[in-house]
Amino acid sequence: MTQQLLVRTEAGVPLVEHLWSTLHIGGTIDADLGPRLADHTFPPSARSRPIRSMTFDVTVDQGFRYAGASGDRIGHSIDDEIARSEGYPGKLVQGMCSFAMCSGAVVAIAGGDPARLRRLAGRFARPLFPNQQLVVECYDGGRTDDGLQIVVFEAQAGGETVIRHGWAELAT
Amino acid sequence: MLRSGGIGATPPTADLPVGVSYSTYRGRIDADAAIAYALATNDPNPAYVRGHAVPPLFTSSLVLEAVHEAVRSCAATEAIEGTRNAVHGSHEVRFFHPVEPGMTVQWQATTYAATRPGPAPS
Repeated sequence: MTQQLLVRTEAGVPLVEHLWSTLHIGGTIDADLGPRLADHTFPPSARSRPIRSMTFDVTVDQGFRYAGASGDRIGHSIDDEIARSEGYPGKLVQGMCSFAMCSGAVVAIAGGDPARLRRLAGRFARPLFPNQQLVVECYDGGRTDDGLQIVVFEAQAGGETVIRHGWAELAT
Repeated sequence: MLRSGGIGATPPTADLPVGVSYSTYRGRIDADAAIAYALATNDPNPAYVRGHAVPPLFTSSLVLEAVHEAVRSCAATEAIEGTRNAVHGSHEVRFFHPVEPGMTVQWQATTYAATRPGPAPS
């Protein structure tokens, strides 16, 4: 299921749209409904065009710091017992925290100017754990039809890909 | 950030609520909250730390309660059978205009689409 979250000014001017897709594990539905989501498949040819790699040290208290700053106090990120009851070896870092680190790598490519970012997308593939290093590899994905710079990326930790099909579009 | 909400909630139905919108929330973009978000995501970008801009995904924390409201509504329908757990699978953001510290904003969730599981891209 995908939820659209639209953030607007008081006057109703759209500022940011989030398309937040949730996997309902074990669930089934009869048919697809609603619009198709835009493609953000990582183009294999981009691997030959690396732009930048950034490494983030994921601290032992990362999940707690993110919980405090974001309000995302999901149990498996702040309680080992809950994490283990869900089959993880221990607490995992909130997915949006790892995605935010990816955004940091992309904004660095934009010269540190977040206002250049027009689109950011990714798929959560594996959990990120405290005390790991998250390595975000960014590649030149070409240009959109309307001239935006495409940056595609993947994030890895502990030999696993944590975020796949990362895609960003930057105004030039 | 300061938040208020609970305006105009739509009750779930037996069918998947694609197209249904939920409560409208309002709040202020607190500069200190945006700095805390940046530091909690290991992002020392001076634009954030000096309070001139907010991190791109800061608004994901703003809308969290609205997301949960929408996900709960979907999970409560009879149309999704057998759900054991719900996890965040993917995320996409479009940025139309900058969100700036001090702004008062409003936000709302709408159930956008439902897709049957298929082969996951590698």
